[in-house]
Amino acid sequence: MHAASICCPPSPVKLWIAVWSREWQLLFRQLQDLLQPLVYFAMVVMIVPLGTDPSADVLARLAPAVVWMAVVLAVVLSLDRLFRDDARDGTLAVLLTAPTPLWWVLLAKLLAHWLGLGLLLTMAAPLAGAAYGLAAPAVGVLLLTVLAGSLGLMALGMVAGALTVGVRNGGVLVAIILLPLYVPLLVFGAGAVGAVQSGFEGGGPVYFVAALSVLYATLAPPLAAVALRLSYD
Amino acid sequence: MWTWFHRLASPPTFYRWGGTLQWIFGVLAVLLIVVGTYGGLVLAPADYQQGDAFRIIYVHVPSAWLSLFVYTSMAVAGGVALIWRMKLAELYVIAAAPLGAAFTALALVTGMLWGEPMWGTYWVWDARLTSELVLLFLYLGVIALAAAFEDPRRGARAAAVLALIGVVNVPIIHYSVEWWNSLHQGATVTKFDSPSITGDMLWPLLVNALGFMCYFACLQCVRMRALILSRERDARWVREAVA
Repeated sequence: MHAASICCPPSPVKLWIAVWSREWQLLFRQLQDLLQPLVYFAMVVMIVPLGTDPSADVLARLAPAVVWMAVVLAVVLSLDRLFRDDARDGTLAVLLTAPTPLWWVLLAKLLAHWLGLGLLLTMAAPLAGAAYGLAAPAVGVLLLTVLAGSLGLMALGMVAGALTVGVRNGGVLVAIILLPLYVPLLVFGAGAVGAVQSGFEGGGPVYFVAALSVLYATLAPPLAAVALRLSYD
Repeated sequence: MWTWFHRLASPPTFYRWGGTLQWIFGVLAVLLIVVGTYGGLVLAPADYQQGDAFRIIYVHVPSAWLSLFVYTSMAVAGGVALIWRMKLAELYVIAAAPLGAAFTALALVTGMLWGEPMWGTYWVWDARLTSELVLLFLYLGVIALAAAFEDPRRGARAAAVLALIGVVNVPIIHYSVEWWNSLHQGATVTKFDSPSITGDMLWPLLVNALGFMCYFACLQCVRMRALILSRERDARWVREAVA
């Protein structure tokens, strides 16, 4: 190891970029972590019409709720990769003892995860909406709410993932913790699409989803840092 | 300045004065609930619209108030537990969660029993009902998380973090659900705006609410003392206290 890197800690910005690009590379090296939630999303969207009357008006009414629910489930399923592997191979121990504030590192993780899976879901959601027969303006609003909302979903998810990293079988627990907390995002996200469908202005709820996401993404890294310190050893 | 506080909040000391406290709250709870229930079921006049069915509010409203109060108090205790690493505050969170869940369930069940004759159905997707149900699930999440850890202290602190996140979210959930409800249904029969309740209907309600609060405090002391005994079972003072 280079002598300089032992004596002085790296600058926060450099470390942030290093963590971010590591996460970003991992997303594509471990492609199954990225694709499995996406396939799961597609299957939830596919299976709902099989359980009901697949006529156009029924599906269009169900579309906002189903697509948003599928996004929520895909995000919950993807949270495992945020900390599980890092905890197993010791990366997390290094990050916990690093001189850089943990929340700063976690912010990089969150944004990398959002830019990976969040953007994929944002691209998939309009397709699902169109398959359910949503009209073009509603599809546009759906895209916007999923783009903004997935950040909030992942931010809350990061805290839940951090809380359960020291727990065996944390997966179900994460879902139980998260679903009630996801109520506002789901209500406004799906509600915006529903509002546009019934001829209302969709702007208000879309802004609300974005505001909530920013709030959650601001609060989540420090809270997740606290959670990691107490649940992981 | 704070030393007396820390001494008071150390588990052995709390075990001792909590024992007195639980009796004080217990007796107060019995007195208040007996008086309040008598006032509510016998003295208060029947409602001009709902008849005698309205009398379930003397159980329903105090439970609903407590369901919110207990969650807020859990979040405050959780903050104290995380910031000052106080053992007693951790125990408070763990002990209060099942009690709060029980009050929430009681509020839901009594509401449903009242809803059947009044609205003709046990359940409607009304804003208040739905956010109360979400609150129940928030409680269940806290209970499940606390139980998932092998180290009970760690479970308690994780539950404290979750209670803090939840309490930030409770008002947001409430208003989002209200917005959702107004969008989908418009004004429904379920709107329970009581036009300034009369005094002889109100005082039993307030007395009962105080009584329920004392009942919670009593049970909370009992549960916290039991938790202290099980957590500190290897300490010498426990062996001396129990023997």
